Amino acid sequence: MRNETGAAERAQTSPIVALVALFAVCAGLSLYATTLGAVTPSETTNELAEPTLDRVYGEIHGGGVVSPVSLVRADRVAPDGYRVAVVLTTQNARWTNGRRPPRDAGVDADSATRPVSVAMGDGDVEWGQLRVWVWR
Amino acid sequence: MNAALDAVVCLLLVSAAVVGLVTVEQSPTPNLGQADAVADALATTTAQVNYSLAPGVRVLDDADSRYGNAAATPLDSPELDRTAHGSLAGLLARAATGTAGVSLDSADTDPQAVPLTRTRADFRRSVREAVRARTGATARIDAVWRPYPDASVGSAVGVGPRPPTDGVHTATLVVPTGVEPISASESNGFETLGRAVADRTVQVLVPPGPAHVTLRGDDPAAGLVRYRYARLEAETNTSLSAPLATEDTDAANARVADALAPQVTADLRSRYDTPTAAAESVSVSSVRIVVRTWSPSAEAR
Repeated sequence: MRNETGAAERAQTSPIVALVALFAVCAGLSLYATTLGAVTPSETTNELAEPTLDRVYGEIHGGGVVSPVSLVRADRVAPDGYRVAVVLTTQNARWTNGRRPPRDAGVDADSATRPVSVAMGDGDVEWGQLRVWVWR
Repeated sequence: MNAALDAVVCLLLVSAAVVGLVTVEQSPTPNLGQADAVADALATTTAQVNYSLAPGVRVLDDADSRYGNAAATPLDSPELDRTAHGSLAGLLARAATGTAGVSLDSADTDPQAVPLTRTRADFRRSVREAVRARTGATARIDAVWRPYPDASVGSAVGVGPRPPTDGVHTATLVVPTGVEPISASESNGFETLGRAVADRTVQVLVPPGPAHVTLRGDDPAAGLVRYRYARLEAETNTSLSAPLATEDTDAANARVADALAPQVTADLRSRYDTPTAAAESVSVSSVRIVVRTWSPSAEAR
């Protein structure tokens, strides 16, 4: 009898300590969960623009030179369910694929840019910038 | 009290996990495309640069009759204006080889610092401006021509600001200088290899074909080519007056190469164990263009 009582007392923890420990563990876990949520890129951050830019460039260039008339082909390589706007600029000229990136609030369009060579009508190859926007 | 200890251990593990998560995820995702994109665009974009030979004429000695009418030409004369057209990478390579320096006597001086002649100084400036206007402030481009590592002949053209210490992407472009690469039969021994490298080095410094045509003409450029040969005479302690009297540029180049070959052979022999290993490191037939890019935010950090 005496032995049993002593064993039961040893196994017990004071309720205050147990509650504090439970609270601390819960707080730690929620801190971990919030950090995970904060650092994991969500779908709307700039994850789609870079690969789409690569695919658009792959579709419209020939031998490393982009021809402005081929910009319309950019729609073919747009990710499923997304729309793509492409703008090609050189020092004196600007071409698009006929679509504008959304400017109104609420819609976020990811964009990415890279330098490209642009074939001009007179046979020159000029330095230019290719910019791609991707949005739903 | 066991529960408290358990909770402390649990918290320690969780905070370690948080720290790990933050440090791993915060490292920037590498954007390898930008340096490659700039290198591709440099190789394919064409440009036209206008320049003047005036800096070369300015250093000519008026009294020296060898240079013909070149020294007497007014510096703003349209006879000295030139236009070059080509890919940006090709223009950078020409600017590098055209402003190459030779420092045979003093091993300490960097040949890249002092060009042989100033004829292409304005060309180099124009090319650098043309490239800088296109690549912007977050790219650094270095075009380097060196016949072999630590050679006493060479040049470098740099465009753009100094890159930050981290977050830099690199791409390399190789542009031929127009001379034949070293063939396998020429890398049998150090003697033949040294001679082959010296031949090609002089060929890049003074291309014999164009130099021959220019010497035959009577415009100021002929005087500039004669001055270039005179500088080579001085650097290598040879006499070129006999071959140049008949505009024999091949023979003149061979004499310069004769003077250059012993040092090239000695350099290669001291640095490499076998002629094959030395031949692999020889880069006389190409200009390396290194492109480094970074993001504007990395610069601010």
